[in-house]
Amino acid sequence: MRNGAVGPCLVAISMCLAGCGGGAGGGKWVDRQPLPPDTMTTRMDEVGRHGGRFVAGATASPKTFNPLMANETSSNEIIQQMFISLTDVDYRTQDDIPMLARSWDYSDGGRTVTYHLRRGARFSDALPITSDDVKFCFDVVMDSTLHPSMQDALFMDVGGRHVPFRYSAPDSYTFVVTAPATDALILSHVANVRVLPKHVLEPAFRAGQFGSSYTTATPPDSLVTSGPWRLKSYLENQQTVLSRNPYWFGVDAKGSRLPYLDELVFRVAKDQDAAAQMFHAGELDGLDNVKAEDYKQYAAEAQAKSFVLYDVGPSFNTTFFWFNLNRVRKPEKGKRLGGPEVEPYKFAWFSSRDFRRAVSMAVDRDGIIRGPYYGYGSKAWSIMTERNQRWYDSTLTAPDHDPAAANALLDRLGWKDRNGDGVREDAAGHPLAFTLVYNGDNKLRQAIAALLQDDLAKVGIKLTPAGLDFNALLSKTRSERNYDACLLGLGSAVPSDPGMGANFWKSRGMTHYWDMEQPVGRPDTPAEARIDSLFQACVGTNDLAERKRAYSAMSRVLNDECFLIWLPTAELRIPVKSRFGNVHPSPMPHRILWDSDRIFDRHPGEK
Amino acid sequence: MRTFVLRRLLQTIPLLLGISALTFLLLQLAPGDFLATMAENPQISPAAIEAMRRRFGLDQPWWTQYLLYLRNIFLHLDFGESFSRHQPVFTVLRAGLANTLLLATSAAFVTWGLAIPLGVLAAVRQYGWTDRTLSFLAFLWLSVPEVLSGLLLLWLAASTGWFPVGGMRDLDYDTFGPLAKLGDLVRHLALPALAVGLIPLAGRMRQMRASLLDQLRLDYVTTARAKGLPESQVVVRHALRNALNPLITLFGFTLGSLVSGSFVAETIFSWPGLGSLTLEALNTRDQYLVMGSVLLASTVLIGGNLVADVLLAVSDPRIRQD
Amino acid sequence: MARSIPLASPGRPLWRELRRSPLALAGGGLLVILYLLALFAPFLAPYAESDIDRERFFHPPTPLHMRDATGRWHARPFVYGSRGGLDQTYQVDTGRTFPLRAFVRGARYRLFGCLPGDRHLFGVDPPGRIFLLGADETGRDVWTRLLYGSQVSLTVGLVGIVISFSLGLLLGGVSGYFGGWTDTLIMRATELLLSIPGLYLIVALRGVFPLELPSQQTYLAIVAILSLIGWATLARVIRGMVLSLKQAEYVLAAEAMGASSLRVIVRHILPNTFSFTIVAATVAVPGYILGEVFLSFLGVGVQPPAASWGNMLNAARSQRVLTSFPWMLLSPGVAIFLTVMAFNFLGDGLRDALDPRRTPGGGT
Repeated sequence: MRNGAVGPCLVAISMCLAGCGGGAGGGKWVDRQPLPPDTMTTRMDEVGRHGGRFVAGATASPKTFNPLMANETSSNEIIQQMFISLTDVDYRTQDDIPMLARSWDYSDGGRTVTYHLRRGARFSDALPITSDDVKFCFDVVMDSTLHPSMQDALFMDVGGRHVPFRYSAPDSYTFVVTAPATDALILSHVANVRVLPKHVLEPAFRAGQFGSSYTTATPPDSLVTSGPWRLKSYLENQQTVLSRNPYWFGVDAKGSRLPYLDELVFRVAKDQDAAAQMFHAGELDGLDNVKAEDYKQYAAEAQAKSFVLYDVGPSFNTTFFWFNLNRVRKPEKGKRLGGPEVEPYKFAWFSSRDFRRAVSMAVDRDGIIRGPYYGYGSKAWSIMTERNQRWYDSTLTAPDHDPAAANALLDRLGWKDRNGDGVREDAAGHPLAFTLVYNGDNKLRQAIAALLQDDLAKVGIKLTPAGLDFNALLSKTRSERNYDACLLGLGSAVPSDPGMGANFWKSRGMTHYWDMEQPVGRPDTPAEARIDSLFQACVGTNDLAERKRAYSAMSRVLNDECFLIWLPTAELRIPVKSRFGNVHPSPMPHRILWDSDRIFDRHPGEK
Repeated sequence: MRTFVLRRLLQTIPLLLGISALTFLLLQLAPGDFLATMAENPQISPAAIEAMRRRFGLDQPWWTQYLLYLRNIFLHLDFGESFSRHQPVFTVLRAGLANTLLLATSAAFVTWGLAIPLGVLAAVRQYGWTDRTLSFLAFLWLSVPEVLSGLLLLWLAASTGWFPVGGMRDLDYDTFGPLAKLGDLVRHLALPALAVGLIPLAGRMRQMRASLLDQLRLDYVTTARAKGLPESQVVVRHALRNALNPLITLFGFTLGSLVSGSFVAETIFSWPGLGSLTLEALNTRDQYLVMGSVLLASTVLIGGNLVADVLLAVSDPRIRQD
Repeated sequence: MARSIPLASPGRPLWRELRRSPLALAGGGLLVILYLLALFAPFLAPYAESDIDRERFFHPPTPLHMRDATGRWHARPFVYGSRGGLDQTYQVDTGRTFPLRAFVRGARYRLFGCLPGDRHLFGVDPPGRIFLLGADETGRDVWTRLLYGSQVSLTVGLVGIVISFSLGLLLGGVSGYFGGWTDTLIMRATELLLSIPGLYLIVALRGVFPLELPSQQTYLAIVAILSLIGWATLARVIRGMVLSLKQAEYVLAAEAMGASSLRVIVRHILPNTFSFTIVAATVAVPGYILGEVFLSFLGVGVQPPAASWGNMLNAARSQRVLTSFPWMLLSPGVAIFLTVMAFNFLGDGLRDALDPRRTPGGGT
């Protein structure tokens, strides 16, 4: 029973033994497979060397390895390493680049795309990848029982009908997709479908078991992949280890097969704090989510601790808040169908454009940058932020900090503080007070909400922050819709293209936060109608210049109306150990490993 | 004895039934469901959400869902599937349970491994400096909130480098020999087990002390002393053995409570256990996973209590009746 | 050596027994001080609860000096001004001194929720700031928030045990006294609640209560949740005690005289469980305080900007804060620690004092 003494002894012994344990990377890797006829010369800055391992942090374990069934980030970030699509996106330029397809042609006014698959591409079990596999995956995606979430991206509403994309595989290396109407994002929608092996999964699909294939319980050896990596091992809640796919068709400038690294490890670190600890202890090779308050410290330590702090610039994630202009769409007790969800007197304030503009002018964005962002932030006035070269429009703006003007605007509306308590009242005597909900566990938003409360108090408006549990927040904003104002943000899609946000921009969209699910063809205000038609223009053509004009115009309408009150975006700094080359952190996920096939270890085999 | 155990085991079934009903009810009352988070993704359309809703059976009224759930358990021993993972619930929970049990057992060893010798020491030097100091120190740790103590231990690990800063195994674990694997496990277990195990120490130490004091007051001890036996033999060989009896039953309770008490430690030390799985499942409203997890944790708790009661009945024949 | 077991109300003998335990007295004294601080929090705090200072995020504590940089002694203690703050580092500005003032006019408050006032015990003139325990991530004074937070954290326990112990005493008493179906029903319910590990139940229950309630109501919801878990154990023990007590002579006498069951339970039986109950109550309070900390850890406790020790601790939960701004973490941590310790010592002392086997009057 006297374990008190045994404990320390075991610790001592274990420390000795662990020191003599194995290390990373065995011998140097030799390419044993012949290169395919159509290799893909992957664009990179530096030619590297083979060997080594990269350990990245993940906030959660993947839930599944099936690309067509996964719906969460934790699964998708690993699936993206293991499975490819016909095309891919170069994160540095946001161009569409060849992947399984080595080239493609448009026809039919841009409605039809003919993909030419590269020859000799093989799965991780050595069997060839052909258009049959692509067609099989499309069949699965379009299956009505299974209804994977990406299915709806392959439908378009034309003339009131819900029309699917048509697809066919005329020969083993050609695949043809036809959209019902011109769609600027046809390549992206098709790229949602990642290629799985028909020879492995077709029996399961026919038997109705596709949903439970390629789960985390599947033995790694039977998980056949199409991408640069295959699954080596998986430990629930601990780590996922990927190893090189020996049949990958990507090569470097010298013709050596990629990827350079032997292994890619995703280690679970649930807490941002825990991940930072692991990075400092050398257990992680990079961090893709560092708190702004730590940037200075990281910058100071970078040299001493052998890592590089990459400046990625403003994030593609935006933060904003809005007022609830939702109307009652389904019969509800005590509420008029078609009437406002919030109390009518509040709706009168919120629907006043001047009120919204005044609130936007009350917000001290510099204060937010100085405070919760610790100086590492910049003002953002649209969904597409500064480093988004393709879409960013620097001329976009919205009402910025001007408390005097805000006060003047509110005075003109006739809402003055008559009883001297510091809060304005409207004509009926209601004090100008509302609640701002946000997800309580997000400390950044907590701090921002506190500053907003302070800012608005200076113009006589009483804002009460209310932190909610995330699920409660979603439930409120999406189904119940009984809130006053909400503080939220949008993450970046890949590619970061306005067309990817149909549900956000369209007035009938489900995530058109401030006024969701407006009746089709009869939006609530003229401004909404203008945004709808501009969005249609943005996705209905392949001409980039025209698309950009449409995007800028609809952003301008949005900002003019102040349907969203924009808040600053954070600047990103990403630390990665300096021993790794070809590291180009990006604001889009996966920030570090989007080009994992090119990353190499300058000193593989050394500790 | 056999009937006692049998009767308790049979009682467990309606108990678990009641627990499942209560948990299901609470899950229904909580706002949002599994699809709420999904619906937040602008790229997933309402049609896809509806299809998922149908596939998961979430479009049925709650009592239908619950009855179906029970039917599957009783007819097929099928406890449902995790929505996000498309795997049976217990397949997902297996690893987490094993890890939590490992942590709980190690923490129990820490608790008892320290409580017994320290309790004996405190009893033998009753009211002296040692006694008071030990009491004080034990109360100290009991009073520090687990969040703070976990953070302090983690800081210790980070600044000294003696212990890893979280997780359960080294990256190269698979290449280790068996002894090295054991050593690695111990290193990773040390801090979380300390954080969790030192909390109940005060209570257990006091109980050991009280129990031993009770023994030392009895006649046979006086007799042994009169016979000239050295004090250490009196205490250790004779009194301690009897003093430990009532404490054995507490071991069952300890294990049960430690299984549930590890939420904080598991998060701070990134220990891949049942607690963190449950929190994640609850946050995503993966309802059958939550149910399975609560049922599992409750079973461990009930099991621990049963073991404790059996040990009590074994050691004290007067308490055989329920 | 026969001694009658002190089941009746303690009164003076308890106080005498308690005096033998200096730790218990210290604990009790500390608690009295803490509760007084909480009661007079708005007066004792120099600032309001959510007084943001954008120029002073993460400001360190401002020490009081009597002698300034030029060597001159001041009549009253003072704090220096400070400069900087761009990256949370500050330099002391010895050129500007702000003397400590007493009974300063400051933010308005309502003492005990009803008496309006605006005088604070101490303060300094703006633009100086006095941060006894430093400032947090939005420049709010930690000492102020500690005081306001104590109002939440210290009362969570008291309100919680009032609710759960009332429930436990009543249901346990009824269960033991009446027996039969009532007993079975109540005991099955306690078994159910006790078989679910506590933290799981807290987490599940918390999901049920919507969080957007104003902080008062959130607080009550939290207390209600913690109490719902707490009553079960007590009910079981009380039931056991009642089972043996209901055969006592005075009980049979009361019943013979026609007293109603409820009256018998409440007036005659339950008071004899007093010594056990009071110890259990004292020892249960820390559980509530730590329960509130746990709920804040999950992000579902009392929400900022309202202060509670739990959410202050949670906001400071990071290695960087521990190493660079330790006052943010240690202030609520030490406060919780001291309170829990005090309750534990007091409970321990009470248990010893009420221990029937202890020899009266002192001596080992």
